[in-house]
Amino acid sequence: MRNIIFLITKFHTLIVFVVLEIFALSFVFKTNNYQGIKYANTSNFIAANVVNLSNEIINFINSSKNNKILTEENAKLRAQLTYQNNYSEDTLLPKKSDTYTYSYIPAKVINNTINNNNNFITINKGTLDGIKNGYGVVSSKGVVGIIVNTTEHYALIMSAISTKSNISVRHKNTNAIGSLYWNGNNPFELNIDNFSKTLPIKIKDTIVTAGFSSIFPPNLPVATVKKISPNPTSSFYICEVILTNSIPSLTDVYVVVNKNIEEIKKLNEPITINE
Amino acid sequence: MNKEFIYINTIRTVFFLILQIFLFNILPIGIFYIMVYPAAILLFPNATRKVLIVIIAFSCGFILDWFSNGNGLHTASLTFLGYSRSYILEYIRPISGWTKIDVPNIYQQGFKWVATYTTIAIIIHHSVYFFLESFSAINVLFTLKKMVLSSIMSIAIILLINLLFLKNNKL
Repeated sequence: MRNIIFLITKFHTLIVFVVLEIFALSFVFKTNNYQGIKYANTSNFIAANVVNLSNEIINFINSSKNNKILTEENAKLRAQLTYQNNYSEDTLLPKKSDTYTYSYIPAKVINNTINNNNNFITINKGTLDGIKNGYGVVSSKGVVGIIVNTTEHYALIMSAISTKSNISVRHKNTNAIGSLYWNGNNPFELNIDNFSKTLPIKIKDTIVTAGFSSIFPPNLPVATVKKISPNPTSSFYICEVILTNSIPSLTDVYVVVNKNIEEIKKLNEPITINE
Repeated sequence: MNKEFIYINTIRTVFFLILQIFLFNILPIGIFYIMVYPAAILLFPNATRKVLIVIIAFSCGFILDWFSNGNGLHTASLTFLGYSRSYILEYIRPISGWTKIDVPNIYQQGFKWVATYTTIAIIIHHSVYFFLESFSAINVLFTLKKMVLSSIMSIAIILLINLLFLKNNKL
């Protein structure tokens, strides 16, 4: 007994350190998959309120720029509205039925990190506003990310500039499908995999969402090609793109709600045979 | 442990945490990540009990994770630094050795010594942080590049803060 007490008094620093370090590391590895982000994040009430304060000051400084972006979006929507009003009677034009399955919830960004390998954005809408995990988030200019955690009043987005994020995209001119990912280097440059070398892909081509995932509506602008070169070791291109929206300076976003998402999920569930 | 000790050290720690959360976490730099908060742990008086340092480091890391979506990365790396601090201090002790009232800051030890101390500590902290963050052998070169760039920036800014705010007082 005396020996045990002696050991504890001698190595108490080491014991405390090991216990605390294991505690911390368990969180690092538990949250390594992005569905499991539950521990310490800014979507909790206190942290969100404090961070909100500093963000409001930054918003105020940038308000003229944000106003310009919103006005541009208004103008674009107005143009679409007139177009639809003019041709609403014309049955030859395809009715865009797929656009009506999506509705949008506007939200304000209150925290935004871009320094880590996996970056998160906190917004001021939560489950009370109808937001759930797995919903997509877009801004007026392009794709932002996917919701990974929600509380009553706040939600956490894993932004597209995260090494764990993977969004399926389409080359607008050739309809080729690829997947958008970030290699963790420059927050303004992302990469696309799976574009075949045979395709005529050029610099400044537009990349849009594929619409397969039922998270993002199809044909939403995502990025423009910045640099493209054939990969000598495979049959694909090495494709560098720039996002059409600048995620580091986001202020207003829209959460995409797909009305049929539950039905689509049910369809994708593995078939179980009843005996 | 007297009242002055608690007073001074709490103010300094809170100062570094606020600086990190409200300034360096929201700077849109991207390629490197400036972390100044390890300096709060480094500047505790030499005679502080080691257990206390480890526990304070853990709490500071926890608060930072809470405010910056760190998911345990700040906690793990800062706790490690808190434990290894006593070994660093022992390794680069002055020729005359440590006395009970010594504080490892510029005011007492001079710029050159503090620069060495900060460099060693920040390199330890940043390697733990960045290798835990990208826990794979695939991107070793890239992680290394990010680590070195971040370390250089962090060390420079911590030394600058030391010179500007903490040179002529006991803080």
